[in-house]
Amino acid sequence: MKLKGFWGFFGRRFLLFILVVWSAVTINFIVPRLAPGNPIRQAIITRYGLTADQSVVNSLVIYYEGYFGLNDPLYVQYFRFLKNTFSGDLGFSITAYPRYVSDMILEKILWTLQLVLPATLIASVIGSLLGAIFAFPRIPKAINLVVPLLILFSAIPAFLAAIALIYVFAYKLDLFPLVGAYDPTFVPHIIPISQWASLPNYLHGPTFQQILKHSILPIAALAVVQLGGWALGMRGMMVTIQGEDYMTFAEAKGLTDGRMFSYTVRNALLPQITGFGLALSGALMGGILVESIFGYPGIGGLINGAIAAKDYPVIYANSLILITMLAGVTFVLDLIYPLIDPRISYSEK
Amino acid sequence: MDAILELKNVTKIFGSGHNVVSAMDDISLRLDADKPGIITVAGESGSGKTTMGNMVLGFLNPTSGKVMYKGNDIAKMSSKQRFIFHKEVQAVFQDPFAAYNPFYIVDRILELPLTQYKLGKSASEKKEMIHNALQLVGLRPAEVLGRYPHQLSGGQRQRIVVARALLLRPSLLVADEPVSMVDASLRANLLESIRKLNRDLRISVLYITHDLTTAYHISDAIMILYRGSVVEAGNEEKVIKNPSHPYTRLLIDSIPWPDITMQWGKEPLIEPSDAAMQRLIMGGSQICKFAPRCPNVMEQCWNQRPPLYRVDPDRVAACFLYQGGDVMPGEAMGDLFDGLIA
Amino acid sequence: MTVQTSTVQPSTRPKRTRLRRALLYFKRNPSLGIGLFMLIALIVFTIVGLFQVDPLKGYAGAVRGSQPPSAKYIFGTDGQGRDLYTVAVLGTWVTLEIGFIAAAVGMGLGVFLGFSSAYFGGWVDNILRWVIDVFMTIPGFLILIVLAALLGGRVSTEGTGLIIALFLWAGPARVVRSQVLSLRERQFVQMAKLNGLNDMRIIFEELFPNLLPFLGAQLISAVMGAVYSSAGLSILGLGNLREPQLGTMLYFMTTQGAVVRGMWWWVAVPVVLLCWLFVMLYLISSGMDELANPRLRRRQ
Ligand SMILES: Nc1ncnc2c1ncn2[C@@H]1O[C@H](COP(=O)(O)OP(=O)(O)OP(=O)(O)O)[C@@H](O)[C@H]1O
Ligand SMILES: [Mg+2]
Repeated sequence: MKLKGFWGFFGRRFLLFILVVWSAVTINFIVPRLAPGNPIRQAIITRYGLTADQSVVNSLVIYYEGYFGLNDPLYVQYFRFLKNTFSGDLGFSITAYPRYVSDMILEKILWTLQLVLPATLIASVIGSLLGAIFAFPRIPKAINLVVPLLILFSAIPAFLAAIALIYVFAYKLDLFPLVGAYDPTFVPHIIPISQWASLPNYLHGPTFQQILKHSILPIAALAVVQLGGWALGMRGMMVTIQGEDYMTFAEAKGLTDGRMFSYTVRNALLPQITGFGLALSGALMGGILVESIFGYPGIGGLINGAIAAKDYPVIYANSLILITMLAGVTFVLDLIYPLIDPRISYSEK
Repeated sequence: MDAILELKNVTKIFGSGHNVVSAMDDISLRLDADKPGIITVAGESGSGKTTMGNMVLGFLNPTSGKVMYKGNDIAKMSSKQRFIFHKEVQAVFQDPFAAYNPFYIVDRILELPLTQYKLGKSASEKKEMIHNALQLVGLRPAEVLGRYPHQLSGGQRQRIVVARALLLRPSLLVADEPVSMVDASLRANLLESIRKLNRDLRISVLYITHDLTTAYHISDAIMILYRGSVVEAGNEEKVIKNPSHPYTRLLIDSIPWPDITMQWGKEPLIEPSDAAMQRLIMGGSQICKFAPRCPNVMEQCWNQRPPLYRVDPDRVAACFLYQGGDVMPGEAMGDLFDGLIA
Repeated sequence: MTVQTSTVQPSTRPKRTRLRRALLYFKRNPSLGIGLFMLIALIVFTIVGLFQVDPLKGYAGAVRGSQPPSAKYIFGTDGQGRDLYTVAVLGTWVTLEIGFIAAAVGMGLGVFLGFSSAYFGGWVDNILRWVIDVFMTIPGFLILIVLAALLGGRVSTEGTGLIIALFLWAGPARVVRSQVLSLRERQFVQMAKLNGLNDMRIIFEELFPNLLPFLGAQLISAVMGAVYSSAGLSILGLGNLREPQLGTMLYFMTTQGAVVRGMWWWVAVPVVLLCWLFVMLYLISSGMDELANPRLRRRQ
């Protein structure tokens, strides 16, 4: 009865997902209204007010007055905001008018994922491997000295690691470029979603090498700070499993050390999956800051620019989209985890 | 005839929906103030013994019925009455570690109640009372005082709790399996201390156990519970030596008595079928709960709850095997025990 | 050697001093030992520093900019004319101050709500559990960005702390709730009732002390989270850019190209000090965790 209690579990998780997204939307509705006046209008006027093209200013102001409808009762504003948000209309950017905020974010998010996903994958694989090795009963003592080092790294935020890496590897040793995601001469063209099938064509040649060269340091910064967490989690899980009855039983049956070890690793690896959502969330937050430091053109770069230019719609939409994305990942991981780990059932939770 | 403790048709139901458990099912009991005795409540694991103890101590409220202390309903006591109630009704628990707060040295559970209940006039008098009580249970005060619970052995910890009962001189002591987690050599010592509490200090004792060997000889009367209901009660000697309810027989039979002339394990063990368990759940309180496991089961047992039949003048059993005998109403349990306590 | 000690009667053996006991404990729990040592070192550094620095030199334009370390400016100066030694001495504590304000407020809220949730049960507990779950799932930093962006650079140190606190309470609330629930079932609570204690005294004298190491560990990791958030906001230019904080240093250092200008001292001061803080807090927090829950103790 693997699926026993599935619907109850699904319902609770889904409700949590909806509540999270709803909270994020609501916060984004409330926050701008906390400030005196209308910060978006303020920002439009300070940006365009004295320079030319008053028609842009006017159309933006008119658009946003309609969008927010500040003269309507609050609940009307609120429901309109909910409706707009859930139909995907997150408004125009102030600085890049007439671009839609959602378009800008979708375009940048690929760059960010391009750092965050490999970093998390690499860290989880290497970290779990290290953790497994630490838990192996007959390892040389010297390897245990690596543990405190990893722990130290896991305490340090990625943005500090990024600064240190830039200074040493990009500035001192000149092995990697200092900033950006590609050489200044290169103009990236965004691949439309309809043509993603042709993506492999981009994965070779000078462009790919360029992008790879630029992403190694940020990926390293994001990965190195996660290693410790993965390794400690894995070691803890290994130790727990080694202590369980069925392992003692297997040992008594005379299984070889090697077999025992691979047994344990397999059983310990599964629970690590639950850490993936959290790690991804951490890496994404870290990624925003690491991008700021590397001047990388992903979400972090976008937020950074938006903050400097007071482009509020971009800032709000970013937080909303990222929160939705992460809540979605957590939701999906929560759902599939009991399917892959035979020891967990839906009804237990 | 002042009752110090009186349970009136007490029922306790845990859980809701599909998972209801009636941990106590219409149980009555009375202990008189002027005749302190030791009453044993026995039964297998899950029969509702601890629930009963917790209810007497005021930690749980009954679902229906009343638990009265000196004529006051415990559930309805004012905080002042409750304070006095806690002063006079004390306990010894099963797990000699769990009763201690690991944050404090063991002295706390001896000193704190003395302070709270204003026993002992001066610090030196309190100290002397504590030392005396510890010595009575065979502990050297210098060896145990000032230590943390984890620094003492289980036996030492349990003896301190018993010493605490000696110190406070309650009117009623609930001893919930006080010896089940200490080794055999200490059991006699602890049981002797509890008997001393009863005989010398005239304290009524509700002795809860799943182990009838420890009940033997120490108690005046016994009550056997099965799934929250009384199956047999009365004269301890008769119940143990010559059990009348099939469940009691099974319980006594499964004891590996030290006496080699007594046989054990000859009663057939019946593994209840799923269908039988289903009938049991459907039946609720309206059938004999032991029916699925009973070697003597009759069709009647599935349809009707057996009343308490008087097997002997001083012993009753809830079993249709004794149909035709006098039926004792559950409420008369107090009078039955009253006659047994000398 | 061992023979000597083992033949001495326990009763005649001189009592170990507190210090030696503590040192022995730190050997078993090196995280706590090293973490506390780092804290003491930081305090000594600050006290010595306070006798030497002029707080005004921590502000932009106070001294000649871009000077490498020398006898006059032992940590050098930054591109905007702050004396980095002054920043190191004062900024570290300003940074910790934000952390402690945020953590204390967040913890206070968390402990209160966690206790309420466990104590009242019923619908209060149900609602609070959902709220806690939602707050644990939302990456608070993203909301912090929104809030801080709206407030611009106008937030004070205390203000930053309070905003960060909004997203720090859920973790402690969850821990306190589950701890209280499990402690409440423990028999020593029944024993306390038999000892004549009322509910308030049971909460404060019996439950609370047992929660202390947990709360301590939670507090320190909350401080860590708060320092992380405040440094992160600073990097995005959303902190208080006037006060000499370590995060502010990071902001100017990255936006003004300290690395490409080869000003290693400008890079090193905030990075090393922040690393020091994070490692110190992490070690203390995991050391306290171990103190709170010795079952985690590795059996070796
Ligand atoms: N707080 C509770 N919530 C739900 N069910 C409970 C609770 N306490 C006890 N029960 C149930 O009530 C029944 C009686 O439990 P109780 O602890 O009184 O048994 P016991 O006779 O003391 O058993 P043991 O010898 O194992 O201590 C059991 O079925 C138990 O599962
Ligand atoms: Mg029990």
